[in-house]
Amino acid sequence: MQDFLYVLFMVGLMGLLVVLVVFCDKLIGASRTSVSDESDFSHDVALATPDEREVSV
Amino acid sequence: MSGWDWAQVAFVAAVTAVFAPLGGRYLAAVFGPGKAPGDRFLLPVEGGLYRLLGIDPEGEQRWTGYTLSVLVFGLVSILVLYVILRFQGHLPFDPTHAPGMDPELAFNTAASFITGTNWQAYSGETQASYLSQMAGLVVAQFTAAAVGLAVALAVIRGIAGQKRTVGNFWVDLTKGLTRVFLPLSLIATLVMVSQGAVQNFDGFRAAHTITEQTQQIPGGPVSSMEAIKLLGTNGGSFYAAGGAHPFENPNGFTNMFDLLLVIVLPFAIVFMFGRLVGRRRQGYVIAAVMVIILFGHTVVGMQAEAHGNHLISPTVAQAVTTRNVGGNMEGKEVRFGAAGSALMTGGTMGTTAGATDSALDSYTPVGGASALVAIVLSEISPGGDGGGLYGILMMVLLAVFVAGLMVGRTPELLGKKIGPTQMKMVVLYSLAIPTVVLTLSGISLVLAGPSTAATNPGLHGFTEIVYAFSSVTNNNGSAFGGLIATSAYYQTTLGLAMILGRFVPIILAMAVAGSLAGARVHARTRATLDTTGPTFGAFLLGVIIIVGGLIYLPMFILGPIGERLIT
Repeated sequence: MQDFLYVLFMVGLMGLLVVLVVFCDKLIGASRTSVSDESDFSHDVALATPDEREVSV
Repeated sequence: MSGWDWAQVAFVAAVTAVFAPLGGRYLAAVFGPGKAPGDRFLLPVEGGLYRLLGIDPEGEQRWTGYTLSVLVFGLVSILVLYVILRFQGHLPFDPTHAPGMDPELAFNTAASFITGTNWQAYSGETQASYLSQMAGLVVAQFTAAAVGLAVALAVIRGIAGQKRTVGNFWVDLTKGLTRVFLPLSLIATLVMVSQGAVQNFDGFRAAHTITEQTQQIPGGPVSSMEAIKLLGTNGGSFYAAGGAHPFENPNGFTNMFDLLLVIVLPFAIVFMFGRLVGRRRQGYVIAAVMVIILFGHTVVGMQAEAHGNHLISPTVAQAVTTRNVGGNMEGKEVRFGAAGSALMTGGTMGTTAGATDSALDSYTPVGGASALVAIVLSEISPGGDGGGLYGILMMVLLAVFVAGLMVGRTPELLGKKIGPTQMKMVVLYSLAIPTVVLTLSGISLVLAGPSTAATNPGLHGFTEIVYAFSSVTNNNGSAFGGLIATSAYYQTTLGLAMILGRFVPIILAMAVAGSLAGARVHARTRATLDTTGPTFGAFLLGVIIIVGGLIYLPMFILGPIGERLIT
């Protein structure tokens, strides 16, 4: 019985965390305006001088 | 502090200054685009793993997918470890005949190791089988560290990258294991074994002492756990005595080696950040702030312990002489000394490892407070593997926003504007852990049973309780001591605090990254706030201290500060 309760507790807790993920995504989605459509950043300015930019994500 | 104590500090600083940038370079090569060292041998291995597990290594995830992968992996890991611990008495590799753990202890331990906390409410020698230690706890130590690193990578990609996606969790996890933690742990294990740390499957050996007594000497696969315990900023020891046990930490060299294992990699991750975002100076500024905090609380702690304890009888010599290590030696190893023990404490408290080699409960109030300060500043000096980086990045965003408002410039980090959405997440991030710590501590202090679990009266007992919740919620895992935390109440609430303290900040940091992923990168102009100079570094330091101070100052006054003033 105790095992069942602890397993339920762990699963329930993770379930609540999933709800937090969904909530945060809604918050982000609500605030995201047309910025989200600005997907082509290939022309964007450099973040740093070339000697600093050895690796980029 | 003696010259020898300062020499140890200088040695740690020098070695870290050499190896952390090199480590950062290696990590950037591994996790950045292009070829990386070891590709020839490891790419086929990783490719095989991806095929076996059905992972598409090219498939990128949005922040939600990445975070859900972290949560699912965490849940499955906790459940598997829980089952292993519950049924270890019926499983092989149990030469010490450890019985299955009780449900509450199994839950506490599973939550502890999967979250990287490594709070140990059990005694490793007698309550954990070798199978549990190797296939359960050590595996969790590897994965917890790799998950922390993976989340940091995703946050970096979100904050600085130009795509809406933040990478692939399973690929980051795999590469963290195959390229970082497994090879480094193998080397560290061999070094520990060479120094006399134990690595066997012998169980207990009976030794007959000169007083005609029989003593049970524990063995076990200790060195392999010691390596990832420190390298992964986990802190969970094979033996109950932890780093004070000579089989685990045999001499002064291994003590220093342990300290370096735990410190270098978190700093290397910061240097990796600077390289990945193309602004090494940004990494330098963050590393400098971390160093200042680390140096501050560590040296204060060392000084307090080296100075001695005025409550100890004057008949006990506390001065340093050629025949006396000096200082407050209660609860400390003579071979490490008072300040040397506090040095280890400072290093491991600042990194979420919490792997002490001395008893914190016996520290002076100032020495104990120095450990607690490192913990409640959200573990950013330099913090855990990955966790320290994304933790301080949240503070960087807060500092950028506040500084931008103060000087009338648009808050930007790495060319991306910081707006209300990010600030909501950052503020939630800043409040999440203190809310858990203070709420659960408060409840424990007012309930009749839990409040009496502290074995010391008054302010010291208060510190014992708040330290426990601060430690586990920040995923540090060190025990102040003096708190009987084996009741079902403490096992459950501490386990709850570990899970919330691990995953809520991850979710919020990932949400910040998700909100910035793909956002437009603006050109740097003369009006852009410079975040790569010493001015911003000093401002960031101020923000960290003020935020931490405002939240926790009352707790410190009621605990160690009050104890120092009235004793």
